[in-house]
Amino acid sequence: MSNRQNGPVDPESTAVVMGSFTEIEPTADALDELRGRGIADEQISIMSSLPYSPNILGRPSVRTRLPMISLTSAIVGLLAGIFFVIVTPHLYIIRVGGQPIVPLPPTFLLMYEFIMLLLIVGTFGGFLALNHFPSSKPKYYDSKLNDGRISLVVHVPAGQKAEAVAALEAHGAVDIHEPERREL
Amino acid sequence: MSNDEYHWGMVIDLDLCTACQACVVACHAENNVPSVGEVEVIRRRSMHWIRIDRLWHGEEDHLRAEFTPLLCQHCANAPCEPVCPMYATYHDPNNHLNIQVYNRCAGIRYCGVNCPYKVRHFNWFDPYVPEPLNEQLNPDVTVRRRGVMEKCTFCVQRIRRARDEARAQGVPFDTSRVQPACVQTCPTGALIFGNLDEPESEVARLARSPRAFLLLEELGTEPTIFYLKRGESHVRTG
Amino acid sequence: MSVLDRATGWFGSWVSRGEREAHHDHSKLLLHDPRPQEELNDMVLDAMQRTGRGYWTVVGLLAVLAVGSFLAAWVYMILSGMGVTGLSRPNYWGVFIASFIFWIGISHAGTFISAILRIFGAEYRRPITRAAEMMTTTSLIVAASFLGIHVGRVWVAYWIAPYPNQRGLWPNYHSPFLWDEMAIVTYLVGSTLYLYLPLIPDLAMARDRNLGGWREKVYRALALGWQGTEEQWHHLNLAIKIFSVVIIPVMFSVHTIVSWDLAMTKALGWRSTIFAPYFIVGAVFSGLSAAISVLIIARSSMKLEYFIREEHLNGLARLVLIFSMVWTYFFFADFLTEWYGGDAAGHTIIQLQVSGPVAPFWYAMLFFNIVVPWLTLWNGRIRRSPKALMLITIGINVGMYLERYIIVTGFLRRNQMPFSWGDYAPSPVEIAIVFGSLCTFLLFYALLSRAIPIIPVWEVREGQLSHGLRRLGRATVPTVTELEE
Repeated sequence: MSNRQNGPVDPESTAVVMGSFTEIEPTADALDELRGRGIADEQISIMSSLPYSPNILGRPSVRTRLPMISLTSAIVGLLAGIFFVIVTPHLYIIRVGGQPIVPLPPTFLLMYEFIMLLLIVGTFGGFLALNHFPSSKPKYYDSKLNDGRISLVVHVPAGQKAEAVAALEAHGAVDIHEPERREL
Repeated sequence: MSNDEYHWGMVIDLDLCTACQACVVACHAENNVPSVGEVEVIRRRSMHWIRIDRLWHGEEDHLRAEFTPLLCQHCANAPCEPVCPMYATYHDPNNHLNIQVYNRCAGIRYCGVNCPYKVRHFNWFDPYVPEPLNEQLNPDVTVRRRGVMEKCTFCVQRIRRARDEARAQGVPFDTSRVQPACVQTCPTGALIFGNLDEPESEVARLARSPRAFLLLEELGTEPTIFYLKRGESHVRTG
Repeated sequence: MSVLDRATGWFGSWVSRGEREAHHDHSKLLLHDPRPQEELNDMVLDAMQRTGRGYWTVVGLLAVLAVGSFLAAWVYMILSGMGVTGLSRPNYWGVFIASFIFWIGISHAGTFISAILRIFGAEYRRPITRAAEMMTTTSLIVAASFLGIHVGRVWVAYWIAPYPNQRGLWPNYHSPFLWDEMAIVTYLVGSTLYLYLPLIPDLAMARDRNLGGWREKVYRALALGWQGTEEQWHHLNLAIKIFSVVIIPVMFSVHTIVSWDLAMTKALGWRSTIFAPYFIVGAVFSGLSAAISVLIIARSSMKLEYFIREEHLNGLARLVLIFSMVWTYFFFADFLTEWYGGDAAGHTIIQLQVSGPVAPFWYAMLFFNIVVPWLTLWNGRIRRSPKALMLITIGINVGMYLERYIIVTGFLRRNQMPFSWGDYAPSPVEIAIVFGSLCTFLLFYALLSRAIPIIPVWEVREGQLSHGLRRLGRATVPTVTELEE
C-alpha cells in the first residue's frame, strides 16, 4: 500500500494543503523549498496531467513490482499451455494424420501464444492491482488537473501548515486550500 | 471396444471397370447419400461417395475416355485428419480406417480443402427425402443434415455387423465375407475388398501385383486403395 | 547540363516537392505548435460530442445496411444452408475466408502505428495511435464474425473452445484453426487492453468535465478512479512499455498463423513456405492504407485538422510506399519459384492468374498494389494531399482484397485431380455479407469515435513538451528530448 497516494498514516498529521502549478520549474522549486523546510518526500503527493519522470521534479524514484507480476503471469501461461496442449490430448487419445499425439512444432507455437496471452492479461491485472483500480473511494483531487496542471498535496502536522502554504505561495501556486476527499 | 487389428484395404482393377456406375448407385442406397438434383450436380455439389472420374485423352477425332473410380482412400497419413479442430475425423487404429464423426462436425470444410483426391462431400442443404423414399433409408446409417461433411466409410456398418455376428456366433471372423455395397454390386468384380494384413486374402495378393499403384503417391498420404493399371501396359498381369 | 543531369534533377525535385516547404516552417508541425492543454481538451471533446444531422444520417444508413445486408443475409444463410453461396467442390472456401484474412490484415495497422512506431521513436505517431487502435479492435471483431459465418453449423462453433465437457473431448491442437483461435484471442485481448491503457488519463479528463448523461457514468466507471499520481503514471508507462514490446510479436504471430491456415494444406499454390512473412507484409501494407483512409475521413468529419496534419499523412504514406515494395518483393519471390521450378500441377496456378479466370483480378491487383503507389508516393506533395491519398489508399485496399480473393478462391479451383477442377463466383448472399461487413466495420468505428476521445491529448502534450527549437549555426533546427529517465 503506497504511502504517497494517501499520505502517511501518522496520527499526528492533522493538516492537508493542496496547491496547483501550471509550469514545471516553479513546481520543482516549491518541492525544493518544502524539502528545505523539513517536509519529507513521503508527506507530499503529486498529481499531474502528464507523466513527469521523478528526475524532472526532483523526486525519489518509484519502485514497482509490475515486472515481477508480468513474469509470473508468463510462467502461469506456460503452465496453462502445457496443460492444454500436452495434457488434454492424453486424456482422450485420438490419432490424426499419422502425427504424434503431441506434435512438437505446433506445441512450441501454442506455448508461445499461451505465454503471450497470460503475460498480457497479467500485466493489465497487475496494473489494476498495484493502483488499487477500480477505486471509488473519495480522494484528494483537483478537478482542473487535466487542463494542464500539476497539483501538490502536502500532509503536515498542524503546526507546519502555514509554512507549507507559504512555500506554495512563494512559487506562484494557485488554488491553495485545504482539500476535502471527494468522489472521482 | 475391440482390440482386434484389421487393415482394411481395397483393390480396384482398372482393366475390369466399365464405368457402369452401379457402385455409385449402390453406395447411395446403402449409406443414405442424398440425391441433390440436376441443378446442384451442375454446380459440382454432387454427393457421390464413390464417383467415376473421367478424363479425356487424345485429339478430337480420336478421343479416348479413361475412367477411375474414386472414393475415400483411407490414407494412413490422411491430410484431412489433423486439420479438423473438432476431431470430427480421425484414424481408427484398430481398423486402419479414416472415420468421419457427423455429430462432431461443425462444417468448417478444412478437411475438404486438404483432401488432395477431393473425395469429401459437404451437405450444402438439408437432404430432400420425399415420401415414400424415406422407407428406403438404411436404418444402420445416420441421415446427415446440412452443414456436415461426409465421405466413404468402407461401409463400416457392414464391417461392424459382420464382426459382431461372428463374435455372437462364436466363429472366427472371416474377413473375406465383408463387402461394402460398391464391392458387392460391381458386375465385373473390379472392386475387391478385404484385410490387407492376411497375406493370402485376395486383396493382399492383388496389392502385391506388379500392376498395382497408388494414386498421388508422391504426396505421401499412404492410401489403402491399390489401383491395378489398365491394359495397354507392357507389364504382364500376375 | 547533360540530359542525364537534367532528368535526375527533375526527378529529384519531383520527389522532394513538398518536403522543402515543410522543412522551413516548423510551426506547421503539430509538436512545435503547442497550445494550452485546456484548449486541446476542448477541441477533442468537441469533436467527440458534435454529432449533427449529417453524422446521424450516415450512421443510420450504415446501420440499415449492416442489419439488412450483413445480418439478414447471414441469418438467411444459417436457415437455408451453405448452399446459397457459390461454393462447391473443390472450392470449399470462398470469399468469406478471403474477407476474414483481409480484416485480420486491416487490424495490423493499429499495432504497427501504436507499438512499432512508439518503440522506434517515430514521433508522428502521437496523435494517431488511438484512431489506429480503434481500427484494430473493430476490424478484429468483424474478422472473427467471418469465422462464424463461414462455418457450416455455426450453432456448434463454440466447440472450438477448450472446456471440460461430458464427451471428454478437447479441441484438436494439431489443427491450424486452433492456432488461429489462440492467436486471435490473444491479439484481440491484447490490442483492446492496449487501446484502453493509454485511454485512461483521457477518460479521466472527460470525466472531470462533467458532461452529464450516459457519458459521465461511463467515463467515471472506465477511468477507474484515475488521479494522475506519480505511482499511477509510473505503472501506466511501464505497463504501456511492456504491452508495446509484447504486442509486436503477437501481431507477427497472428497473421503468420492465419497464413498457415492456407500454407499447412496440400493445396496447390497454398503450399508455400513464404506465406508467413508475405502475409504479414501484406497485412501491414493494407492496414496502413486503411488507416490513412480512416484518418482522412475522421480528420475532416471531426474537424481534427489541428491534430492530424500533413506531416502525419506524409509519414504514413512513406511507410505505405516502403511496404508496397516489400510486398512486391515477397509476391515476386513466390511467383518466381513456382514459375521457374514448379511442376505441371503448380503451373496450372500460374496459368490461372496470368491468363485464366482470375486474370482480370490479378492484373487489377498488380495495378493497385504496385503501379499506383510506385508512380505516386514518391512525391512529397502527393503524400501530403488528403484527396490524392484517399484515392491511392482505397485503391491499395481494393488491390489487397483482390490478392486475398485470388489466393483463397482462385487457387482452390485447380488441384492434382483435373476432373475436380471448377470455377467459383460469389453468390448474391456472399456479396451481401461481405459488403455488409464493411458497413458494420464503418458503423462500429463511427460509433466508437464518438464514444471515446479519439486523440490522446496527454501523449500529444508530452510530445510538445519534448520538442523544441534551437539554433545550430545559422539554422533553426528542431530538437527532441528524452523525457523518461
